[in-house]
Amino acid sequence: MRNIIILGLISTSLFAISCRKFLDQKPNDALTIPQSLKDLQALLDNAAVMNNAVFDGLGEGSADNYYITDANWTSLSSEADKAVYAWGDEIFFDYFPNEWSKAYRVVNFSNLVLETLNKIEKSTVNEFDWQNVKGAALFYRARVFLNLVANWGKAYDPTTSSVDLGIPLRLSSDFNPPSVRLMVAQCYDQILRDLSEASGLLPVNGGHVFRPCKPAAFALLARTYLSMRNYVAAGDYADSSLKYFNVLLNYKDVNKTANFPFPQFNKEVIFHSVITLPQNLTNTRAVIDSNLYSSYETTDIRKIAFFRSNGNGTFGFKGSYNGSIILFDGIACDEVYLTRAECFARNGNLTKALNDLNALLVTRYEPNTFINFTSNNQGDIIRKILLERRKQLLMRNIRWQDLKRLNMEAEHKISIKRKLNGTEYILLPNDNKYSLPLPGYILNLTGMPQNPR
Amino acid sequence: MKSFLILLSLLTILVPDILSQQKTDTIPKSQMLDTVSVISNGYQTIARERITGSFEVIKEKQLNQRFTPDLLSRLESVSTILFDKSNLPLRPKITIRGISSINASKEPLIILDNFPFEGDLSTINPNTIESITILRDAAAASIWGTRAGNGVIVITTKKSKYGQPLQMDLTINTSVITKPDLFSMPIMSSEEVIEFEKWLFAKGYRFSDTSSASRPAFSPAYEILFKQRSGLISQQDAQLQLDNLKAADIRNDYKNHVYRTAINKQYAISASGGSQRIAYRFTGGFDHNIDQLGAKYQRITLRAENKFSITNKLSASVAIAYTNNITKSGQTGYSPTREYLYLNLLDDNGNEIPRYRYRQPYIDTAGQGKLLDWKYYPLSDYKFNVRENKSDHLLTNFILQYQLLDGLQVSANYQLETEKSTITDRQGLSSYYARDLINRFSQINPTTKAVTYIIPKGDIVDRSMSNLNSRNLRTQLNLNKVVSSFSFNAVAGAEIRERKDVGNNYRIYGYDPSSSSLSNVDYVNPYPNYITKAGERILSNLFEGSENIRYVSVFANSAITFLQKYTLTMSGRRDASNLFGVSTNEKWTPQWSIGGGWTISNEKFFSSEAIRLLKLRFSYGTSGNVDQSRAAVTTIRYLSSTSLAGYSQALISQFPNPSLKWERMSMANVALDFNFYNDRLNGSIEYYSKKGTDLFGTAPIDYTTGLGVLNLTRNIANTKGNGVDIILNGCPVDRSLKWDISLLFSLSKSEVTKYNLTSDAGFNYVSNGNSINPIEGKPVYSILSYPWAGLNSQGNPQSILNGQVSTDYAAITGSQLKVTDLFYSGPAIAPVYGSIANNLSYKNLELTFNIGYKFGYYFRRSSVSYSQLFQSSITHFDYSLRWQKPGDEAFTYVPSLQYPNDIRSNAFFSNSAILATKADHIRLSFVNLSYIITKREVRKLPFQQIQITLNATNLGLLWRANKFNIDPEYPDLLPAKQYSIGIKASL
Repeated sequence: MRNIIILGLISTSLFAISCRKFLDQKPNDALTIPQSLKDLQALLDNAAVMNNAVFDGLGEGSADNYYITDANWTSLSSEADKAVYAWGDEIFFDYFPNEWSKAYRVVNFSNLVLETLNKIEKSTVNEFDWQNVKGAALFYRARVFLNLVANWGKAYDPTTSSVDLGIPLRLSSDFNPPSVRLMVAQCYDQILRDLSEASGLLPVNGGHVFRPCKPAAFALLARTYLSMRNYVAAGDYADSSLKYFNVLLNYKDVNKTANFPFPQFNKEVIFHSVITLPQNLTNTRAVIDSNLYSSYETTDIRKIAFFRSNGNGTFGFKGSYNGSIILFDGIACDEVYLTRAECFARNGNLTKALNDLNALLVTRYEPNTFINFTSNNQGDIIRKILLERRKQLLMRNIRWQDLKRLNMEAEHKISIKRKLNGTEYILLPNDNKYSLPLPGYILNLTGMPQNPR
Repeated sequence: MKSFLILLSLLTILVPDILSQQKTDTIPKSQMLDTVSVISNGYQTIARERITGSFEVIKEKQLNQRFTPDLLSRLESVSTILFDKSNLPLRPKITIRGISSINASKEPLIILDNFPFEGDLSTINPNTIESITILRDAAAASIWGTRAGNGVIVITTKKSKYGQPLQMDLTINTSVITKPDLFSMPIMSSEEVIEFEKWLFAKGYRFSDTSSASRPAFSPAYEILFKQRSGLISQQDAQLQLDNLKAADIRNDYKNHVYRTAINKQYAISASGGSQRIAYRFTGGFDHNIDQLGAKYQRITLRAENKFSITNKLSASVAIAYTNNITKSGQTGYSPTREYLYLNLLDDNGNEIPRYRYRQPYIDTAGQGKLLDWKYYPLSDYKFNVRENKSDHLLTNFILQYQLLDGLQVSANYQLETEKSTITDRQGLSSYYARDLINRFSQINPTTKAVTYIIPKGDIVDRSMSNLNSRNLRTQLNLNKVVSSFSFNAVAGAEIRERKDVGNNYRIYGYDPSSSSLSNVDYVNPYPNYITKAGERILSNLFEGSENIRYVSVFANSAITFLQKYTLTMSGRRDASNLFGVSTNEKWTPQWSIGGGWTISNEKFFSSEAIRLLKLRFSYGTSGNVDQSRAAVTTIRYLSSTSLAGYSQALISQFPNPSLKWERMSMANVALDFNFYNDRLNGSIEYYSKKGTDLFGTAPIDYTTGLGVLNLTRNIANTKGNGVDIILNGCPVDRSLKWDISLLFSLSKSEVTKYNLTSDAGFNYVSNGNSINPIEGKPVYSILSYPWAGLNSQGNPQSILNGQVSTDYAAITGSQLKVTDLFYSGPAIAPVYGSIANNLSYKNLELTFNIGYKFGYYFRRSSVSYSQLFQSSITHFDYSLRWQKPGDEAFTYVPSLQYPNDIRSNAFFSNSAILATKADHIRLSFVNLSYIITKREVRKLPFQQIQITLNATNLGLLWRANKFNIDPEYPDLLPAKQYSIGIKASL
C-alpha cells in the first residue's frame, strides 16, 4: 500500500515539473512581446494610430481661412469645437481621445519602437529594414512634436526661444516620469535632431505613402526651419526633398466638378495622413473666407475643384487630397515647391523663386491660360508666394503655423477677426492666444503651467 | 509550490501511521455521508457538523418556486446573494457579501458539480439541479483559489443512488409574460416633442445640415416645417399636419402590432434507479419560449449519469450532458431613440409608414427609381433581417475512485466541456440594411442610366462561429477516518485546467438562398459613396482568433474533530496560470484559511431537549490577486486586418506596470447555528468582517504619457467592511394549518479606508455609484453629486463653488470643484436587504409569498437632459416641469430650456445632488399556490403523486421611499408580470 502512495508522490512531482512547460503556452496567438523588426514595422504600419486622425485640426480651426455663421456656430453640439473657433479659454472639455492624447500616443509607439530597436542588432541582412524602422519612428515622433509645438508653444523667436514655453517631450515609453513642459528651443532642437537622423535612414521610396520616406523627412525639415524662419536651411531641405520626389498633379486631369475631385493617395502626395474632422471644419459649416475665394482667377481650376457652392454665394471646401470630406494634413509636393520658392525669394534668388512658383501654378490653371508671374521686386514676389501658399495649402492644417511665423515679421503680420452673435473678436499678431490652452485634465494631474490667455 | 509538495508528502507519510493504529471506531459510512446533511464545495462533501466556514444551501424546493428558464435568477430573494439591477457596467450584477476585489472580474465563481462552469449558464436545465451552495467566507471558498475572491456558487446536480427502485418524474411548466407597459416610460408627450422641435426650428438649429453631402435625415416635424418655409405647403396645411402628429402616439401601435404576450413552455422528464452495483439517472428537457417580440428560444437538454461499484474498493461514474440551444430574433421593439413618438407605424389605411434615414426630399428622388427602395419599414423589416444562434454544449465527466485503505480514498476526476455556437445574421435583399448598403455602392451611368452594383444585389450574411474546449483533470486523496475521539477529514490534490477558445467570422455578399450561390466583391479599391461621392471600401468583416488559458493548482483542505464537539479546519491553495507576460514566480498565488467550530449542544453540561443544535464557528482566511497588467514587459497585439497599404499592423496592448502591488483580501467570520424545538426554529446568525488592501482600481492618468487611456489600473484603495447574515426559519403554527416563515436579513457595510488620490477634480468622481468612491470613511460605492443650490431667477441651475453660489459650469464640471466639495448622499448599493417568505399549508394546499426588501441606499434618478434632447431626442417627462418664467424657481428644480444649449450646465444638473434619490423599497417578489394529489388519496390517479403550482412573479412594489413613483430597480421600464402554471408528476 505504501508503494502506491510513493508512486502517487512521484507522479505528483513529475506533474509539477511538467507544469512549467504546460504554462509556457501563449494564451493568445495574436499577442506577442515586440522583439523583431517585423513587430516594430507592424506597430508603425498601424496607420489608424500613426498617420490618420492624430490631429483634430485645432490649428486650421483657429486660423483665418474660414468662418462660421452665427446660427451654425450656435447649433454646434460640441462645446470644444465652438471654443476652438472662438479662441476660448478651454478647448478640451471632457472629450477623449483628443488631439493631445492621440498625438502623444504616436510618441509612445515611436518610443517603444526606438527602445526595442536598441536590442536588435543591425546586420548586413537586416540593415535596410532596421534603418527604415528607426527612421520612420523618428519621423513620426518629430511630425507630432512639430504640430504640438506649433499649436501649444510660443512662435519660434531665436531671442526668447530658450525661455518660451513649449511642450512636454516624452522620449521614453515609461509612463511613470511626470510630464514637464520644455522650452521652445529644446523642442525644436529635438525635432531637428530626429528629422535629420531620419532623413539619413529612410529609403527614397517607402513603398506606400503611409510610410515615411526620405523626401518626406526633408520636406518636414523644410517645414520646421520655415516655422523657425530659417529660410536658408528651409530652402536647402525643400531642395533636397524635390531632388528625390518632384511630381505635381496636373489639375486639368482631375474631374473638377466631382464632389471630391482629388483621389486619395494621388501622385502629388509624399506622406499621407488625415485629421479627425471637427464640426467646425465640416464643409457645410466652414464657409471659405470670401476674399480668399475671390483671389482665385476664373481660369484657375482650383476655383471649381477646391470649392462647392453653398447656394447662397458662399463656398465650402472640397479639395481634400483624401478624396472625401475628411481633410488631408500630410505632406504633398505642392507645399515643398512653395517653400522652396519662398526661400529662394527671401534669400534673393528671384529667378529661381519665380521658376518654382510658375512651375506649380501652371499645373493649377486651365491649359494655355496661365501667364507666368513676373516681377523684379523681392517684396512683391514674397507677397505673391505667400498668397499662393495660402491658396494652395488651405485646409491642410498648416495655416496656423504660417500665421505664427509671419506675425514675427512686421511687413507680413495679420490680425484675424471673427464676428459672433454681434460681438467682434480680434486676434492680434503674437497674441497669447496663439498658444492654445492645454487640457485642464492633465494640468490637474501634472501641475504643468497653463498658457496665459 | 514546493511547500505544498512537502505538505502533500507529509500527509502521505502521516496517513498510513494514523491508519495503522486501529480500525474499530469507524462510524459506518452511511451515517457519515448520507443520513446527515452534507454540503458540497466542489471538491468534497462535508458533513454539516464539521464545517467551520459560511455555507448557504438553497434547496430544490426553493429553486423550483419560480419558473424562469435560467437558474441564477431563481436565487433572488431566496438567498443572501444581492442582485444589482442598476445595469452599471463597472458594478457586478450579483454579489456575495459585497465586493472584495474591485478588479475586472467581480462576479462570483460558478461551479457545476466539481468544476468551474465555462459555458453559457442558460444551457443548464434547472430541473436537473438538486441544490445550490453559496460559499461565503474564506474557509468555505478559499479552496477555489484566486477566482474565489468574490464568493463561489456551487451548483449540484441530482445524482443516481444505489439500491433505489425506478422512479420517474415528469414536469410541465407554462408561463405567460404580459406585454411591457410602454406607457410607464418617463418620456415627453408627442405634443411636447413637436412644440420643442418647432422651437428648435425657429432658432435655425441644424439648418446647415441641409447642405451636408451626407444628407442626414430630419424628423418628420422638421420636414413639414421646411416645406412650409420654402412655400411648398401653406401654414394652415403645416399646422394641420403637425396637429395630426401631435395626436399620435407610436406606443399604441407597438402595443397592438408588435408586442404580444410571451409564452414559455418547459417540459422535463427524469428516470432514476439503481441496484447495489449500478445506479443510473436520465433526464431530458425541452424548453420552448416565444418572447414579447416573437423571438424564439428553444432548448433541448439531455443528461445521463451512471455509477458503477466495480469492486468493493473501486467505483466509477460517468455523466454526459448535452444541450442544444436555438434562438431566432423576433420583431424590433420600441426604442425612444430610434423612433419618433409622434410618427405611427401604420397610417389610417393600415399601410406601413416608411422611415427616412437620410433626408426625405433627397431619398424621394435619388436615382430616379433606378435604385433599390431606400426607405426603412419598421414593422416588416425584421422579416428580412434575421439573427439565428445555434449552439451545442457537451459536458462529459468521469470519476474513478479507489479505496486505498479504510478511510483513505484516491480519486481522479476528468471533465471535458465543449461548446460550439454559430450566429448567423441574414440581412435579406429586402432588409433595410442590405438595400442601404447596396444603394450606397451603386453607380448609375449618366447616359445609359444603367446601374452598376459594386455590392451585388442579394442577401448579406454574417456568420460568426465560436468553439470552446475546456479540459480539467484533478487527482486527489480523500481521508475520512475516526481514530479514538478524533475524526480526520481531509482532501489534498492537484489539478490542471485548460480552456481553448477559437472564433472566427466572415461575411458573404450577394447571397442567393434559392441557389446557395454567392458573389465576390472588391475589398481593396475604394468606390464613391452614392450619396457623398467620397471613396469608400467594402467592409470585409473577417476575423479569426484563438485563446488558450491554462491553470495548474494544488490544494488541501482538512478538518479534525474531537469528541464530535471541537473542529479545527485548515485549507490552502496555490494557483498558476499562463497569463501572458507574468513571470513564473508571480504566477503562483497562495490562499489559505483556518477555522474552528464548537458544537455546544453536544457538551455534557448542555443537554437540553429544546435545543437540538447550538454551534459556534469562526474562520479567517486571506487571498491575493495579481493584475495581468503587472506584466514585466510590453506586449503588442496584431490586428486581424491589414492597413489600406496592405501591411500587417499591430497595437500596443499592455504596458508594463511594475509599480503595481498585489491586491490582498482577508475575511473573518463568526457564526452561530441553532435549531430549537425540533426544527420549529432554526437558522444561523453570522458576523463577518473583511479587509481589502491595495485593491485595484482605475485612477486618472496624465495622457501625455501616450497610453491612449484616461485611466490606468493602480492600487488605489484600502477598504474594510463588515456585515451580518441572518437566516431564520420558523414554524409558528404547526397543526392542520402549517405556517412557515423564512427570514433572510443581510447587513453589508463597506468603507474606503485609504484612497490614493491622483486627481482631486470632482468631476472624476461624480457618478451613479459606478466607480470606487475616493472619500475615506464612505462606502466603496457611493452616490456623490455636485452640490445643489436651486435654480436662479433665470432658471439656471446653481451649485456651490468655493463657498459661493455659482453658475460657472466650466469651473464646476472642470477641475475647480474639488472632490471634497462633492455632496455625499449615501451608499449606492443596499447595505440592508433580504426577504421574508411565508409558507401556509393546509392539507394538500400550499401558499407561498415572498417579499424582498432593500434599505438604506440611493440612486440617481434621471431627469431631462437638454444635450440628449437636442442631439439624440432622448426625452424625459420632467421637461414639462421645467422653469419657464421668473418665479418658477420656487416650485421646480428642472432648469430652463435655452438656446444654444450649454452642455456643461446639463452635465452639472444631471449629476447634481437634487437628483440623488432614496432607493429603499419593499417588493412582492412572487406568490405561489400549489396543490398536491397523491395516489393514496385518489386511487384512480395514474401517478404516485401530482403537484400543481400557480405562480405570479414581478408583481411590483409594496412600498418605496421615493416620492417620484419610480421603481428604483427599473427606473426606465417596469418589468413585465409573469404568470405560470407548473405540473409535476411522479410515477
